[in-house]
Amino acid sequence: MKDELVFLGRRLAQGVVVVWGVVTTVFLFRVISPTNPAQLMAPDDATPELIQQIEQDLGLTEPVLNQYVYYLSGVLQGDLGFSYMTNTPVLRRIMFALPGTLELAAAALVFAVLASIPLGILSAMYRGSRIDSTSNLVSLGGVSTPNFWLAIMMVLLVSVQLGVLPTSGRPIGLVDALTLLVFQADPNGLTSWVAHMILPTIALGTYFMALLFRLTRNGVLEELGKEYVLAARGKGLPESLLMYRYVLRNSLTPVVTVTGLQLGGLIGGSVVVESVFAWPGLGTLFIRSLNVSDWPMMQGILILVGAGYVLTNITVDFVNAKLNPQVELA
Amino acid sequence: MRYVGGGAVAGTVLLAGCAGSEDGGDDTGGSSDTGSTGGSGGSSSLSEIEIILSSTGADTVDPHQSAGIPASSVTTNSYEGLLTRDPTGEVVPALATDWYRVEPGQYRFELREGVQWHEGGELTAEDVQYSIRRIIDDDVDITSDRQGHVIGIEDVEIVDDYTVDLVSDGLNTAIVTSAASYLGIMVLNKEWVESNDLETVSTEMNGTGPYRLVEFVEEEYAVFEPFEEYWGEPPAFEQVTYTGITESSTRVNQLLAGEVQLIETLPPADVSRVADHADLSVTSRPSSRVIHGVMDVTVEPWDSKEFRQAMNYAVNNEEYIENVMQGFGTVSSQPALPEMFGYNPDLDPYPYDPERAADLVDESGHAGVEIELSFGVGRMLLDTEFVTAVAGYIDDLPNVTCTVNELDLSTFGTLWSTNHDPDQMDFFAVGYGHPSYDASQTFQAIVLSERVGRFGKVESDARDDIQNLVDQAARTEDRDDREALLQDAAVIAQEEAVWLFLHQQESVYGIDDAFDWTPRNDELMTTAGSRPAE
Repeated sequence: MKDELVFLGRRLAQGVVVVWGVVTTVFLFRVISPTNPAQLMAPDDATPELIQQIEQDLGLTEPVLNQYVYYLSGVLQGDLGFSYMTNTPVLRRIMFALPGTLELAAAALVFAVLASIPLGILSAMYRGSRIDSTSNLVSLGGVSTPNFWLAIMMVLLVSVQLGVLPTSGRPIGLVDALTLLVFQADPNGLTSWVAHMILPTIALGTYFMALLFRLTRNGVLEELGKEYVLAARGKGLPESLLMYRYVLRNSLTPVVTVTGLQLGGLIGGSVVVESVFAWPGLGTLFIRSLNVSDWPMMQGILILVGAGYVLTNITVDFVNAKLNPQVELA
Repeated sequence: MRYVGGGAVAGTVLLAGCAGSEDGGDDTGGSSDTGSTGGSGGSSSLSEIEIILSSTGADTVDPHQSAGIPASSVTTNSYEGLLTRDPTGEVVPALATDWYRVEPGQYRFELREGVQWHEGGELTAEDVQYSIRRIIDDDVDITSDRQGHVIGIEDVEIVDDYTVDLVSDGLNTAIVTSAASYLGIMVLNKEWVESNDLETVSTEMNGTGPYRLVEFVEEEYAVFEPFEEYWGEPPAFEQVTYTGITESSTRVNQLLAGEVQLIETLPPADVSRVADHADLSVTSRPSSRVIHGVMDVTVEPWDSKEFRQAMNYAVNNEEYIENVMQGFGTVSSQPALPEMFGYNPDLDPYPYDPERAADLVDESGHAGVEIELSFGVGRMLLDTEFVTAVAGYIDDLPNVTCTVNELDLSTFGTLWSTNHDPDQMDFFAVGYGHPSYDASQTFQAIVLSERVGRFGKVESDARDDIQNLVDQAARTEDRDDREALLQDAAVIAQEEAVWLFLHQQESVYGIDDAFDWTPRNDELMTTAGSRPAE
């Protein structure tokens, strides 16, 4: 237990340094950026006086060091500033977009894991069979298909042609949908949530699913070729026990590592999928902010995503160590 | 069925088939429908509508903090001005019922009595006075984005509870324009604004309009419900939702699936998909956006009138509008648009004459020059396509080499309105709309303005002549005389080739046949006057 606490304390301290680095880097990006947010915020026919006034209101006329100190102290107090474009708190805007992205990333992760791991195991167990060759084909398609193309094609086929699922949007979040179900016995919210989740989830999770399938299949095949498996079989250990207790556990380390790292990638990769499905998430918000040089918003998102990556990595290392005793908590 | 709309008036393709298939479903309030499963388009009983803007949603619902069209499309459901315009651009009463000049520097507006605010109370002259001061005076609450749209008004005097005088220094012919523009004077409740913080005023509304704001997430969506005590015609829909979706294929798919009723900026490539649908139509109207090439006269070769004229002769506007824009545009001949006061109908566009263009290039002494035509990707309809075509025409001249420089919007915006460094960008295509319906505003804002134009940056007889004519028009009370002055300015602008005149952009919409809505010249996607189709 002591080892775990030391590990967590050390990694969290490292994480704080990394996040500070992210904060500083994105701040410096803003400073060296050639765009003047005041100019972009002002109407096209604004007078120079109005632009100057906006610059003052934004604090852009202060020395850079002062701006940095104000910003850093704000971040430490949970204040990410105000959006240049909407003049509303960045944190509030991010908190609106965050659940959408997290739900989508989590759903894509669940879809990918649930589809890939059983398929990977089956494929390895029945190597060379039809299951194996079909799974390999699907996997090849998954890694080769750009997610934006898949997204557009699914919308055209499933939503526009067949009229089975909605084309886009996120009219209700999971929490609200569950609240409706639990407190008002109204399943419509959850039905709507599921209907709107299916296509974006598949679009975002397909590549990841194919990747995990390959890792699982290769991992299981590698383990199956080892001597301890032969010995266990020789001793008469039941095949199911051998597979799930020993082979799968030993082959999961790279899968867990990649899964953890890809969760961050899913958040980043959701930008395109969010755009196609008009999904009000962090990716859409970031691109929008980038287009109008809304630096406080971009800084807020990058800090949040950076912190998310750090926490995910710590979690992955921790889980890996628990799965595989050869990996030490150090 | 082939699309046949466009031209000088709104063209709507009404296609065979009845309104009647799946409806939009139960909207839980948000960015899109919840229940529609799509597949057929069209709605049966239209009590709720969803309108999709092609940009992001409104960034604020405080009209004084935004001078953008998307935000105005949203806010004009709740906030109103003293006057407004109908879809054709005619000025019609709104919160004011009568308006007239008392003396050269004093314009009187008599307010409608009994107008209720959404959160209770009655509109008074004090609200109007406060609203105008909030726009023009930096010391009243905010520095408003709308200062440039409320021209020449120096103060507001209250005559009585329902009468205000707008005070100017001398004759101000732009007062009615400011009062009628959705980017001009929007009236807010003084007591409500003063008793709330800026964040509340930016995200909540207390207006007098036909719809009351129910839910708003900046840059995402806004949901309205009817305001039963509205002074005008009762609102026709139980719920109106505005959502911003920048991805065009998503907008089109939503319309085709019957999830929304109106989408903005239908890409020409998707026109047939919508037009061929039994329950949908394509409708269009010339917009207030004039697409032009800006030439920086502070540097060579643009300081040469002959070279600027050559560019205008070199481009075959009709051909690229027909083939590249698929007909969604009209060749422009001058800075003003046909719908504007002061437009000169006697001016023909520059003809396509590459030989004359090549001769003029030789005359200018810049034969062999290499130029670059820049633009911000995504700012104009089919911009990459038509800019490439325009550059191609110029490049076809035997004595000019022209290439295209694609820029992201942020970089383009900075180079256009801030940086002004001709080494980085001295020739660029841009679209600019001014919903004032007055040519003088176009001259001021984009010909003479040093910030967004370039022609005004260098002193010249032509610049002074245009400026004098525009100034003189502002001081002239007689409408015909004023119009003649602005038309004279247009003649000089064309002769001087102040721009590379390109085209008037057309606004193209996809619409559910069950929704009776008329597109406007000023591009505002308001629900005013719209109803379920009969």
